Amino acid sequence: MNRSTLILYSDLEAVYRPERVWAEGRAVALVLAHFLSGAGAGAWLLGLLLDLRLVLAFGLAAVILGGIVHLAFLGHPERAWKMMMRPQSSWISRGLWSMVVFIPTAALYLAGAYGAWSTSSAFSIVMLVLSLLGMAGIFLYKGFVYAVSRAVPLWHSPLLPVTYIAIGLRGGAALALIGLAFVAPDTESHAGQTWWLAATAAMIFLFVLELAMGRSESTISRSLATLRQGSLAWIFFVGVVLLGIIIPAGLVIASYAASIGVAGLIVAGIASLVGDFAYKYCMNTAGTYVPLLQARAY
Amino acid sequence: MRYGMVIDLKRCISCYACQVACKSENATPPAVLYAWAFREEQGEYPHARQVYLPMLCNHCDEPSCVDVCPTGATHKRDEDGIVVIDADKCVGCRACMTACPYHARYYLDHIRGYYPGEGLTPYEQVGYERHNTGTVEKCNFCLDRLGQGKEPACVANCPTVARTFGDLDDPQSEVSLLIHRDAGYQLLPELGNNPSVYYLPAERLPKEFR
Ligand code: SF4
Ligand code: SF4
Repeated sequence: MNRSTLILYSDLEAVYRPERVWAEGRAVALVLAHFLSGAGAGAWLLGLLLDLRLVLAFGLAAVILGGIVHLAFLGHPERAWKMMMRPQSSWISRGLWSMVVFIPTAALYLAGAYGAWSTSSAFSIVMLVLSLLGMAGIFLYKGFVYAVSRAVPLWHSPLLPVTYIAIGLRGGAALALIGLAFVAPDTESHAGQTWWLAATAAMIFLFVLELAMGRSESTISRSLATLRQGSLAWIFFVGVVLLGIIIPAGLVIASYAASIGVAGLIVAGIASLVGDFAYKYCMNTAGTYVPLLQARAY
Repeated sequence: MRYGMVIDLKRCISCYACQVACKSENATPPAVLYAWAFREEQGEYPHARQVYLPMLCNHCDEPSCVDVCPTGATHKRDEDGIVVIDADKCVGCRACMTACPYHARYYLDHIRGYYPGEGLTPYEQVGYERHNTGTVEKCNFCLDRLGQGKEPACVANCPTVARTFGDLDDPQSEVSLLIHRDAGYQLLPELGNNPSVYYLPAERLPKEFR
C-alpha cells in the first residue's frame, strides 16, 4: 500500500481528523504565498506611513512573488484566472481581485515615487487610492479564507482575520526594518520599530484571546496540543516564539537605547519574517476537523 | 426536487459492499473513496463496541463547499439539489476540501494504478479516463445511473437494504417517511450545511421518542 493510501486509512479511522490539504506537501507554497502577500500589503502601508520608497518596492515585490508562489500550489495554474469568477461568495476570488487591482496600481504609483511622474498628480493619487483598496482586500481575504471553514474550529474564529491583519502589519514592519537598514540605519526616528512592537503585541494578544475563547472546545484543544507538545512544537517554539518574537523584540527594544546598526535591523526583520511564516505554517498544520461522531451516530 | 439518502444503522453490518460498489462504478484510483465507512471503537470492556458510519457526500442543501469555490466549479444543481464539480473549471485550490465537514472530497494529484510497477489494468485504463488530475472529485449520487432510471450503486448493492434513495421534498417519499417515522438525523447539523443524507439510529428508540 502506498503512503497516501495508508494516510487515508488512518484518517478515516481518526476521531480527530487532521486537516492536510492546506498543510502538507505542496501546501507549503500556499502558506508561503499567504505569508508573502500579507507581508507585502503590510509593507505597502508602512512604506506610505514612513515615506520609504524602498519599503513600498518591497511590498509590491512580496505581493507579486506571493501571487506567483500561489500558482505553484494549484492543480491547474493555467486556469488561475477562473478564480475571479465568484467574488460574491468566495474569499479566494475576492483576494485575487484585490491582487489584480493592487499590483498594477501600486506599480504605477511606485513609478511616480521613483520620479517617472509627480506623486501629487491626479493620476498618481488615483493609483494610490486603488492600491490602498487592493491592499485592504489583501489584508482581509487571507484570514477569511480560513475563517469560513466551519469544519475546522481552530480556523473558524472571528478573531482569525484580525490576527492575520496584525501579522500582515508585522510582516510589513519587518520589511520596513530591513528597508531602514539600507536607507537610514541610524535614523533618530523609531517609527518602524514602534509599528513592529505594536503589531507584535496585537498578534500575541489576539492569539491568546483566540485560544482563551476556544480552549473549552475539544477540537481546538486537540489542535493546541499539537502546537504545545506534538510534532509542531519545535516549529512553534523555535520558529514562532524564539525567532519570531524573542530575538527581534530584544533587538527592537535595544534600538531605542542605541543604534543596532545595519546587521541588527536586518536580523530583526528576517527573524520576524521567519516567525510569521512559521506561525502560518503552524496554524495550517494544527487545523483539525470536527469529529463526525460527536453526536448520536449509534 | 431534492435528492437525498437515508442510511439505516440498524441494518448496516459494515460489509463495505457500498464502498466496493462505488469503486467499481466510478473506477476511483487508490486513496480515493467516494463512499466509505467510518469506524470507531467506543467504551471499554465489557461495554466496548464498534460504531460504523457509512459516509458519502451529503449533497448538502447549504453546501459550504459551493460558497468557497472561487471558480464556480462546485455547484448545486437547481433541478435536484445534487452538488457536482465541473472538472473543466476546477483549478485544484482545494478550498472546498477544507470547507467540507464530511471529508467527502479528494484531490487527484496524479493517477496511480492498483498494482504498482505493473502499469494500469485494462479496467483502469478505461475507468481513469473519467478522472482529471489536478482537480477535486467526489460522489455525485451516480448521476449517470440516475439518468438511466437506476439508483446509486451504493444503494443498489447494499445487501441489507440499509440505504434508501429518494426525494426529500416529497413528504410521501420513502426517504421522507423513514426520516419521520424512525427519527432520522443528520451529521453535525449545528454546522448549518443541512445535509441530504440522513441516518436512522443504530438502536431502536423508546416509543415516546419515535
Ligand atoms: S458533504 Fe461536503 S462536499 Fe458534499 S455537499 Fe456537503 S459540504 Fe459539499
Ligand atoms: S478545488 Fe476546484 S472545486 Fe474545489 S474550490 Fe477549488 S476550484 Fe472549486
